[in-house]
Amino acid sequence: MAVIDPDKSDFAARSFLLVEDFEAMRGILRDLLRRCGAKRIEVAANGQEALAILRRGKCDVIVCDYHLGPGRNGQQVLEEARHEGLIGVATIWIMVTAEKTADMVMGAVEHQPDDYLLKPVTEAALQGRLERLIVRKKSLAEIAAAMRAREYLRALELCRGRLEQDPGNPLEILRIQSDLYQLTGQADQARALYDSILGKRDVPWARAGLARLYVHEGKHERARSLLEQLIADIPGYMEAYDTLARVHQSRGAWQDAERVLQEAVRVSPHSPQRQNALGETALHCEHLDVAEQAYNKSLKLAASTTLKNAAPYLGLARVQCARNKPDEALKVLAQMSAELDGAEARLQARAEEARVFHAMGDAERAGAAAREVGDCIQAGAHGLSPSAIMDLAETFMRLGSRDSASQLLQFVIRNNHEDDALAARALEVFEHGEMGEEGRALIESSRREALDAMNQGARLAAQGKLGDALELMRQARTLMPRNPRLLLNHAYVVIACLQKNGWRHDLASEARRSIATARLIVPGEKRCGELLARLEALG
Amino acid sequence: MNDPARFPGASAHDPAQPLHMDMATYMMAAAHDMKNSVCVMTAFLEKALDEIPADGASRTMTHQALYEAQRVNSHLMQILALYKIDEGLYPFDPVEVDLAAFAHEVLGGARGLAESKGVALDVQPCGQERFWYFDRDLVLSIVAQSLHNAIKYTRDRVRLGLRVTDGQLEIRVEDNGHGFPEFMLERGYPAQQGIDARTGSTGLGLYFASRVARMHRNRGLAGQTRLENRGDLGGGRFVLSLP
Repeated sequence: MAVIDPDKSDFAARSFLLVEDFEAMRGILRDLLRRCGAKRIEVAANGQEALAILRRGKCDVIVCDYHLGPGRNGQQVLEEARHEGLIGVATIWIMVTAEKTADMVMGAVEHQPDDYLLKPVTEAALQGRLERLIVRKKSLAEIAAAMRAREYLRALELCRGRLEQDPGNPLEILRIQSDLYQLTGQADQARALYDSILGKRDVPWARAGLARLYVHEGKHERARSLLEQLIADIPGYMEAYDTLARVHQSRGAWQDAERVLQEAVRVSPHSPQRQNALGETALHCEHLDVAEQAYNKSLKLAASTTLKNAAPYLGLARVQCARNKPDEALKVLAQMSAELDGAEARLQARAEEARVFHAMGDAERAGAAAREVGDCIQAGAHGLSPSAIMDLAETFMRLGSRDSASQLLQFVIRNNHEDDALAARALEVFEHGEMGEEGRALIESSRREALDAMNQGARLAAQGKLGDALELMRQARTLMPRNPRLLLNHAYVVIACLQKNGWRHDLASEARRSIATARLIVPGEKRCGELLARLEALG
Repeated sequence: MNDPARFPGASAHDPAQPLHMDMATYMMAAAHDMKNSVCVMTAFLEKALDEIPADGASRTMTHQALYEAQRVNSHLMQILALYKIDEGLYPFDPVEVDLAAFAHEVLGGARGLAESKGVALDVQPCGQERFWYFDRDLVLSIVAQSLHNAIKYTRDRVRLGLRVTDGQLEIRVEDNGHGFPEFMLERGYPAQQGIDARTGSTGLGLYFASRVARMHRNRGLAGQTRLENRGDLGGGRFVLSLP
């Protein structure tokens, strides 16, 4: 009952990798692939074997079972292969599964397979899906390559070309186009696109995209009602929960955020990032049991994957501290230092240790740890969040090291001069050290320092003194390496230099680095996209 | 509401958690396990069919066995999906579906059975519209089962038709058999009926179809199912419409 296919040569020329732990099934699937016309088929019985084969050389098509017995599941193999760069833009990854889960079909787009097949896999289904994917991948390969090279304007151009020809899947191109508009800071175009799609059909990704636009514009009420409606209609649309939880957090409604994330992990329990978000939110609400459970799940889910990170360890240490069990907290932090690589993780663990030692009443060890971390922060090389630095300053203050505390607080304010919430928190810390008056003045002068640098830079640039402006921005950047506005102004001046004096590769990289750092700190900022696009237009 | 491991098929059980297994949970876990076994059976039967010569005497029996295995599989899939839908755990996922590819796939799953029974299977493709938006797996399951039923009850022809009318996609499965019995055409079937003593039908397939249809909503409209007699081929017709 083979489905007749006039042209099997497309399959014969491609290399296949079949990943399946159950031997009998492996034989059956291999036969199926052969009947579809595949000639070169490698097989792997587990994730480790699959990755080893992929490291030896690229495969065109990977057919992978989701459940692979003990060890990695198919999704983890996919993520690891992507992370290691073992999959090209034209590679096809099909997941085979007994059951559809929310993680698989509606997790983050960048982690999704190209398609999935429900068991039992039939020849007609396998062949039909593969044929379509080959065509689709071919038509999208150029756009995907441009996006991977971060040439977003070129990718947009290619999308427009595709839409004019319309050989493929128009809504899919529109989806990519809308993402590109958001990435390049063209919010109005993105909105127009969403509106025109939603005028015809309630397409979930367009609703989610529109909600993201509202979030970036600070229209939290509109984002909220849109997301709540989306979740009511499509309860498995995970991105909607994550965005909605952030909306609640930013208006201070932590209990609402916790409720949303609890529901999200019920629907889709396998994302370590989402478990972290729940842990953080529950900790904020002082629901220690919920937080502990979420952080533990996150640790277990991320173990032996590339998603392993510091957040669950730090969270668990906080939970133990809040329970007055500092010994347990120190154990978690020791475990963190042992299990995570890199100076950044050690620094984060050390900063947390300072808090724990202080909670134990061990001023000496607390002071030593805090000084060590404080020095690293002032030197600029660190990955600590503003609130982690605030915590450290608080520890210093409680230890009586007012100067160290004050320096850290000024550092945070300089780097976040527009953030009123952080300024209020800094003032609280100053007040704990009974230096409220002095603190107020220091906060004001730190903010002023940042503003002055920006204004002066802008003035010099406007006067055409680009060289001086650039020098000033570079100096300011060493003082405020985490200030997103300053970083973007720096990139702006560099781009102006390139425009005036011609392209220079080193300068372009300098601007790109600033934009990339700023984007990490403020992911939704539209100037990031605008500046990247201008840079790309020059190069 | 917040019990994380109600459905063991959906998540690996965390040994640190106490088991909260009730009857429904056991049944769903068993259904999930049975489904895995049936999948293996189906795969072996398909492989066997490929190796039995076309005039082999056991060929018809193997086809029958494969058909029954597929029926069990689709019932299990529908029970599991309904359970998850009721618990708010089903990843309902309407996406843009290529209608030609969809028809190809669904017919591919029914062709073997049709051939073995000497039933001619044809498709009336959709005119203008190339894509429609729906949950591919749920709708595939409905249409595949409806085709299987039509092949079982038809005289010698079954047709799959796709068309767009009044902003709705209509997927029609029709045959040239005797049509549906009167009681099945009553409004509200199968919800108002128990298990039918005459046919042994549980009505699960139709119940599943109407539940899934209603989950598909667009701009204030919801999907529907209906049964008709005296269709274009003279027999019964099942229609699934999706906004």
